Amino acid sequence: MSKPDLQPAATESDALVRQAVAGSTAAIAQLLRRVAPEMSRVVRGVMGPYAADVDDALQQSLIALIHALPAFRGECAPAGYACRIAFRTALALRHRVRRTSELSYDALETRIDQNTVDEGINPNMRLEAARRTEIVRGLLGEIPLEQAEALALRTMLGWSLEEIAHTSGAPVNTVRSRLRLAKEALRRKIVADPKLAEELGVEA
Amino acid sequence: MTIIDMHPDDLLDRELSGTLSASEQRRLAEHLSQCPGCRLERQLRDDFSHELVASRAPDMLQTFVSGALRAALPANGTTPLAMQTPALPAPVVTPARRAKRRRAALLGVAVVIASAVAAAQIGLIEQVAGFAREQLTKVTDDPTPKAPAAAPHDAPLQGQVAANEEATRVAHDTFGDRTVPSPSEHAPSEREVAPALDEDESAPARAREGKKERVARSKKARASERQGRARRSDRVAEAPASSSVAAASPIDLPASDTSATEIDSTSVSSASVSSASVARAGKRSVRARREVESPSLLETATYAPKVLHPEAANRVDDEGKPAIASAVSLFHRANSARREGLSSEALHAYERLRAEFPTSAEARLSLVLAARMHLDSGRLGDAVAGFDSYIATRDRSLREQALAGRAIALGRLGRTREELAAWQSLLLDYPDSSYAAVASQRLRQDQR
Repeated sequence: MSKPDLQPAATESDALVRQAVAGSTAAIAQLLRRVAPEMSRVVRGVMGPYAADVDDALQQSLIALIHALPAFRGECAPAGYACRIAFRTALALRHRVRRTSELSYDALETRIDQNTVDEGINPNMRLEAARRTEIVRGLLGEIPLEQAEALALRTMLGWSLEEIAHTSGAPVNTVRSRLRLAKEALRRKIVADPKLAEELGVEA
Repeated sequence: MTIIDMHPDDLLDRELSGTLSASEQRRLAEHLSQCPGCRLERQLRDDFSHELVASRAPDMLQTFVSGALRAALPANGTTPLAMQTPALPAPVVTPARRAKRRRAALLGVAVVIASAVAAAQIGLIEQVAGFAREQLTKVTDDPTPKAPAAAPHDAPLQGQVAANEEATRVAHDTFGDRTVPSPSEHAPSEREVAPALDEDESAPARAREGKKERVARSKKARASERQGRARRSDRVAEAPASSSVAAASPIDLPASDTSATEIDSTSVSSASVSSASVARAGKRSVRARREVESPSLLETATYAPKVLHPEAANRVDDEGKPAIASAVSLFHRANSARREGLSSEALHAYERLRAEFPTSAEARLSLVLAARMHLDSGRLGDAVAGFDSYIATRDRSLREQALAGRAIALGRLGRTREELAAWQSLLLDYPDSSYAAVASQRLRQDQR
């Protein structure tokens, strides 16, 4: 997967970011266009690619980014800043959505879409993958936000520890620790269901 | 420190970028064989990589960006949207046209007032003239009827007619470029109407005749308007020729063949209103026609399955038909029927799906959807049977929902013991279920 430029604002985009932070509409629009693909990926990862509210989550994330621009200090790449905002916005929205009835037709269809089985290749493989990703999404709201963020950025976007550290402003070892704790919580969640653990091949 | 403690995060990252050396690959493989945490992380990264592979098209993202700008930024003179999107099409009604329309409306009002005054004068003068003639006849005892002299009010009436002509011409000038090239087949042309304006008759007789004509045309106009309304849904409304505009209400289309009030000044003012209503009604009728002509969902539904691997689309069944397309399309058709409220059709389609493709995932999932429909309709026994059938397949996609649905159906049936057992089963398997609160509450109620 292609990764955005996560280095601090380079000279070329320095001016763009400064203008966007200063409130230039054209600069804001250009900046949004640059970071929107990654933000979309984060939102879809957190909400589920077929979730009913994924579009709403993306829209809210973009709006949240615009509102958060005045607070951006340029200490990390704009894409990293944007992805963190997208993650937190989508996570909050997911929690609100989850409270609705899961027996509604919309909820049923969303789950069906999430678990679409590709029987042409391996009927179990895709289903297991869908279950694993859904378990991660469910876990994100149950662990501390920093751990959830590290786990999401690592697994959904494939960011390195250094990139996550740079974006979040935390030391690399702190991020490593957060990630380890998040993975342990994830394993505990899967292992708590022996049938699920067996299906997903996760050992106790 | 064991190898498990030294998680090679950097190796995992470089594996992703394909820059591992042979020795590093061996080292990573050895670690993964002993570290379930890193195995899981690697697996998840792969899972999300496949799941999130399809990103949105740039133009669709642009839509989101534009929407966010509109929502988040205040309109400080320059509208953000105007800076980012192509220029909007020019408005149909320009300020110049608006001003022309306003002038025509004011002129129409003036003509109305003048007409009313003139009509009142005509009526009064006619009475006076009639009385005068009677008196004259009595006095002269001349049996030969004389042609009445041109009444003094000829000039005002002629002036009135001229004013009406002018109003008509103004209306035509205002709306002429908005009329369709060919006038309505039922609308009399200006030429048909105009000669009436040029008749040279004595003032009173002309006034009487004009009044009769106006009444007759008015009746004809109303009849025609009724006919026109009946035909209106079949064609785009056309902007009327100026002289055929009836005194229509603002929301009515002008009758296509009205001619009674062609010189009625009120029609000029109403033309300014009904011109806009013509455009609106035209759009409505086009939209209505499209809706009537568009086929039903079931006829044209093309299912685009969210298949994550394209090879699946090539799967065929024993008869060589595209199996994925059949099961999926049948599933989609059933869902569409359900959403449309065609319950019988949907249930029949689900049954057919299970009969023809019993091992497909769609067939299994249809059990829950059908059971849900039975629950809605009060067919509680069928609902329980449906949820039970799905649970028996050992499919886990909707198991939580099936357990909850089963418990609800049992509760409504009054089979309390089974209901409570069902809630217990749900809580055991899915302690974080959104139905956990409901289940706990039911179980607590039973304990009291």
